[in-house]
Amino acid sequence: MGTIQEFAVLRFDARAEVSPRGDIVDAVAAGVNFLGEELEASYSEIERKVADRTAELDVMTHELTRRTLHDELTGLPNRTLFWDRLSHRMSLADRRHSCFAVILVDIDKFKETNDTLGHAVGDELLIDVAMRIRSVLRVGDSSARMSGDEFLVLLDDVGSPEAALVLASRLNAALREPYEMGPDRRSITTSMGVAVGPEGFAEADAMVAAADAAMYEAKQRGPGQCVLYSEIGRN
Amino acid sequence: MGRPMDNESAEIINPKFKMWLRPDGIVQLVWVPATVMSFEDAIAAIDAMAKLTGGQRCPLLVDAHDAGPQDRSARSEFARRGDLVSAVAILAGTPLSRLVGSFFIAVSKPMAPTRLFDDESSALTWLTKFTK
Repeated sequence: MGTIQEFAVLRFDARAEVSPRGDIVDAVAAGVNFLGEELEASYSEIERKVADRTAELDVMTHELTRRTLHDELTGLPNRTLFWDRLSHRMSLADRRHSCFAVILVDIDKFKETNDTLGHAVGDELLIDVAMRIRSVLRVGDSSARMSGDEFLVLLDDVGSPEAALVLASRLNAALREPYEMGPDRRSITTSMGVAVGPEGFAEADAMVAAADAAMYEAKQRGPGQCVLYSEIGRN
Repeated sequence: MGRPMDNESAEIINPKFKMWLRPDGIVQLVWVPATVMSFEDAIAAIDAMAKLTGGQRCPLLVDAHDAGPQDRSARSEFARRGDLVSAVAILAGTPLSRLVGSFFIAVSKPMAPTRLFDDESSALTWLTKFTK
């Protein structure tokens, strides 16, 4: 009876005494013990399965989160994650007195690459550009693929708008180095728009829109140009 | 597969059991009275069976009429070794040995056909169907 009470509080290792007589009392005691062993084994198995499933779910949740916040092709953060990081950086503006900048990068004539060399080569180019952007950035900076052939860069800490433009020009030069495209090595150019905060921008949307406007201005000026948002209209 | 032991040496004696190959091709296992069977005992019995038969599947008569209980690991080991036995007849005598046999058949679900008997002749008659 005591053994069964132990089982009731999930102590399945409790055992009843079985005498060498092997009579009916011993048979009942052995039966109780057998049930305890089976319960113990089943309980351990269930616990192991729950632990396995929990671990699997953790991996899947992690992967789902990664997919939700990253671009599948390039592995870079997507616009959702970039917006989050930019909003966070903007919220720190009161405590961190340095400037920060958003660069919108657009590959010039990317459609031509896709049309002439095919989408596979175009995809490879996007991957290479993403890797190159990542390799040029400093610790603390971040990048993202916004859409199609457009990338975003957040420079976490820049001394001035001019310094941001210098960093953007350095990135522009790095992206101009040749790429393997199909059987050839070819160069590309990128147009960049740079918006520097925190002054003048209340939200991430506004800052990215400013970088976009500056990039549009860069396109107007010709391939491979970098333009500061604050310069628009001056030239 | 190994070679079966010859008739002169076809008996294995262990502190907890005795096993031999009968002339009718059935292996007989007799447990010492009130023996508690552990995993190690199951391994020893299975090794002994493999030695006697050379690894060939043979019917097994288990005389457990006054044996003690077995632990779960022993039951599991016996149950999964369908590669060595073509059928198992368990001779039960005491209420305890009957309980042990019934539980083994119903819960451990041995891979080989297994039945519980009260008398040896019925058990042997049934096992004969599984001899080659």
